Amino acid sequence: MAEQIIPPARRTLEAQLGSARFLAGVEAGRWEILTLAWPNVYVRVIGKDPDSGRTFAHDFQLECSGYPDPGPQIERWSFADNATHGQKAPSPSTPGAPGFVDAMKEWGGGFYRAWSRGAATHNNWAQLRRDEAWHPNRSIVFIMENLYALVTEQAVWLASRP
Amino acid sequence: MKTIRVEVEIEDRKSVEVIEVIGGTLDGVLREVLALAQLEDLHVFERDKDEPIGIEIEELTVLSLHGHRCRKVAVKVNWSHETKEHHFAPSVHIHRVLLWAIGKKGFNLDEMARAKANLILPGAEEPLPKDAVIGSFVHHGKCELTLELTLKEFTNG
Repeated sequence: MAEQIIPPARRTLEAQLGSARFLAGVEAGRWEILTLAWPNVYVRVIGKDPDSGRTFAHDFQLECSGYPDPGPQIERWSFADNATHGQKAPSPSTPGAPGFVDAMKEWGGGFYRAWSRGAATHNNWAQLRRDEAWHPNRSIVFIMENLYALVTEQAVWLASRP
Repeated sequence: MKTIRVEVEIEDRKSVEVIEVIGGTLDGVLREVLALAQLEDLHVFERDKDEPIGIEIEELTVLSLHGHRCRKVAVKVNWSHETKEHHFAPSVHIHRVLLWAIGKKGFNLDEMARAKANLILPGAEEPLPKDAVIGSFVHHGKCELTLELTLKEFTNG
């Protein structure tokens, strides 16, 4: 029986998904892997308002072909346990935390942040904000922590509503 | 026998070590972290947690820890000729300090300003990573940190 050849990109990603830092985030309840269907990873991120404890969760698709160069293409997602693993989620209904709403808007290039592949080159964003840009020496934890920060901002915004 | 995989960052050393602690007990984890740090008076926290680790960690299989000789850090944030101060554990992420600084207990920025806000070290050119622990910017002997709040534009059209 022929051995299955695992692409180097997938090996790199899986090693990072098994890192202590990534798994500590899972154990802390900050994020979880819903499924890995190469080249896509489906994750759920659970943000938490530090004052009230209110949580807010959202799913994302990370398309990781070629990982880590280029970085993941991120899409807002609504995960379902079926053949297609769900579908792209609609843009959030406004109002919401402005940063979260801006990142999730429909503009044709996926998740709208400098660390998402499709947005990185938009208006030279990655060059303008190197602190937020992906580069191959970063880890998937960088993506997860940034998603966690955004989802947390939405949790904080929701907690501030009467 | 159970083993806990532990990622450890010590104070402002800017390096991360990964160790495995056989047995997975609190005493074992603390002993190994103190040995790695070569310090005796170290407080050991999980990342972004307020209190030092306790026996609850014995339920876990992996840990991401920050060790610091400061039990609390006095964080001063400057914005618009005003300074606010709050005490955080050294393991707290920059993002949590940012949420405090822009929120009602801090400078109470409006929603659009909150979305643009970042924290930056005085004189630095780039905002601090939101997932950095504040203890990584605090030298031992002075358990305080001064940051600037900036509204540098982060949206892109």
